Amino acid sequence: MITAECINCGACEMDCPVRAIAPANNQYVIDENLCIDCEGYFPVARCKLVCPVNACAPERIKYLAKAGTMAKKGARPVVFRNGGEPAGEMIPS
Amino acid sequence: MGKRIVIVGGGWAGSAAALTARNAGAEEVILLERTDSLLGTGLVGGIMRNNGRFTAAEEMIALGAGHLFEVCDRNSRHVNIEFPGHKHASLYDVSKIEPAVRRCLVEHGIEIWTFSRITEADIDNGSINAVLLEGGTRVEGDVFLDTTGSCGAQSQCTENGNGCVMCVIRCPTFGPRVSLVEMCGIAERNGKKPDGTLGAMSGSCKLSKETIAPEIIEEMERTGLAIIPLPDELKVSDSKQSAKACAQYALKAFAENLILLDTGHVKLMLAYMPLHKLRQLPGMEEVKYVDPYSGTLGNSMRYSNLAPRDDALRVEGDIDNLFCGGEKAGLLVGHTEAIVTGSLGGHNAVRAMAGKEPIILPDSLATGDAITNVREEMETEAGMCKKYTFSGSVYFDRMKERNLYTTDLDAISKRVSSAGLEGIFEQRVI
Ligand SMILES: Cc1cc2nc3c(=O)[nH]c(=O)nc-3n(C[C@H](O)[C@H](O)[C@H](O)COP(=O)(O)OP(=O)(O)OC[C@H]3O[C@@H](n4cnc5c(N)ncnc54)[C@H](O)[C@@H]3O)c2cc1C
Repeated sequence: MITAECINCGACEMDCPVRAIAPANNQYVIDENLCIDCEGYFPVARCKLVCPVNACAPERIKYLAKAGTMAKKGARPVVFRNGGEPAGEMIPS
Repeated sequence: MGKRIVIVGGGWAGSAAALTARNAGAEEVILLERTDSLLGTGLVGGIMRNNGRFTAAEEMIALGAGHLFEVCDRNSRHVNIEFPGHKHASLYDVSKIEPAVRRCLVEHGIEIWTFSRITEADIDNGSINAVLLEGGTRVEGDVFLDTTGSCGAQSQCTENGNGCVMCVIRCPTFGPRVSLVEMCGIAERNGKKPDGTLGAMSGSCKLSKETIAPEIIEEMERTGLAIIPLPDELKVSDSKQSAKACAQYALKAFAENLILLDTGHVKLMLAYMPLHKLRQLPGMEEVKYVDPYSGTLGNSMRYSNLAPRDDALRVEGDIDNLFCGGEKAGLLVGHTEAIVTGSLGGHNAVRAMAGKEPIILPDSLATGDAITNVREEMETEAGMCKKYTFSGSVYFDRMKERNLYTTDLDAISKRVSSAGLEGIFEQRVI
């Protein structure tokens, strides 16, 4: 994932060992099917290292944790039904 | 025999499907919605009954699926207004509509689950057994509907639009839209802009009433709309117009004027405009966006992940208990349109559960003709680049050609009864 901070410099595309990065309409994007988090090539993901604005977050797991949704943070479903108060826990614990 | 219908996505389509499923006799109907509220993109729309949507709404009422139209009518700020290219429109109040719909659904015995984004499906032998929520909860069912819409995710808005503009869909908070059809391994299609690139941009924004001059607001609240001519340098280019999801508003009048509609907020009939330009207009010097927050730069992208489906709204592919409705079911745009396909999908889901043949609406009805016509159109490359709605553009033209457009209530109820379908969606099939 490359975040919207991308300034289109192209450094990541040039350095990617598996050519998983390409320009899209407004920024560069990583093809998640090709990206291997630089395993076997570099100790630190190359795009992350060369990005001047910190927009490259190749490791999907880390990115997902950072961008965790309500459910990822523990919010449970809130159920509305006839004759009952909403049941469930809305605030992430 | 099973008894539970599970609907994924609580937009207009999912809400409509829940009602017809329940009215057809489904004992348990569970509506799963990833955010904290129902209605999805319907939270920022509001225009009903304009042009052919009037006919479609009245057909649905005659067919017995009128509940949501009644809720909209009751919560309309304006009825029977006219704006360029559009007649007899109603504008529902976007601030009041969600609780009203929610109440209607709960009163009908539907169970609504919010904060419930599905991210996995448990499939066995060509049937879905259950869907799994992102937090791990498993929801079993007998027949499923995908009414997840076609809006976002951020990746779509970034790659095919102008980036995430922070719209009401709120992907970062609740997690982006996920398609159940896709999870079933069924290949989906994407709508295109006329230039062949993917997606289409939503065509309106909401502005804060408090930030616009009182005389404009007064005019708008009295008549339903305000029209502000644009100076030459602010007129919208043709290319920007054609990228819009709402072909019915791609008219000259919308490019040369700022059209504001009173939907509770101020509905600005433009995909986007830089704030500093908007503020050059008299009376708009202090204006502010409320949806999308970054309306200065762009709008949400729609029409990715469209399901292959037949005219009964059954999803075609190797799954035998999956239906769809709304934008998911193809390039039919709008609240009215979503209620039409959602209602039919929900009803047919119960028929499938009861082992009965699904119903298909005949082409003597605008609603039936649209469902078939759009499916056929979408089989062509050119058809995938257009948008269809009862309210304008190519489909409204077809409605008029085929004499399907009318505001004569008697004629509409006659056409429904001569098709033998009066009140069909109120009849129990189980
Ligand atoms: C800015 C804007 C203005 C509009 N104005 C109008 C108007 O004035 N009049 C009009 O007729 N039409 C208007 N439209 C179009 C109209 O809103 C849509 O065509 C219609 O409401 C689509 O309904 P839907 O139920 O198919 O999809 P959506 O409204 O997209 O609803 C889908 C729902 O599914 C949920 N969902 C998605 N994935 C999951 C998942 N994995 N698990 C659980 N839930 C999920 C979403 O959160 C959402 O609530 C407008 C659209 C936009 C974006």
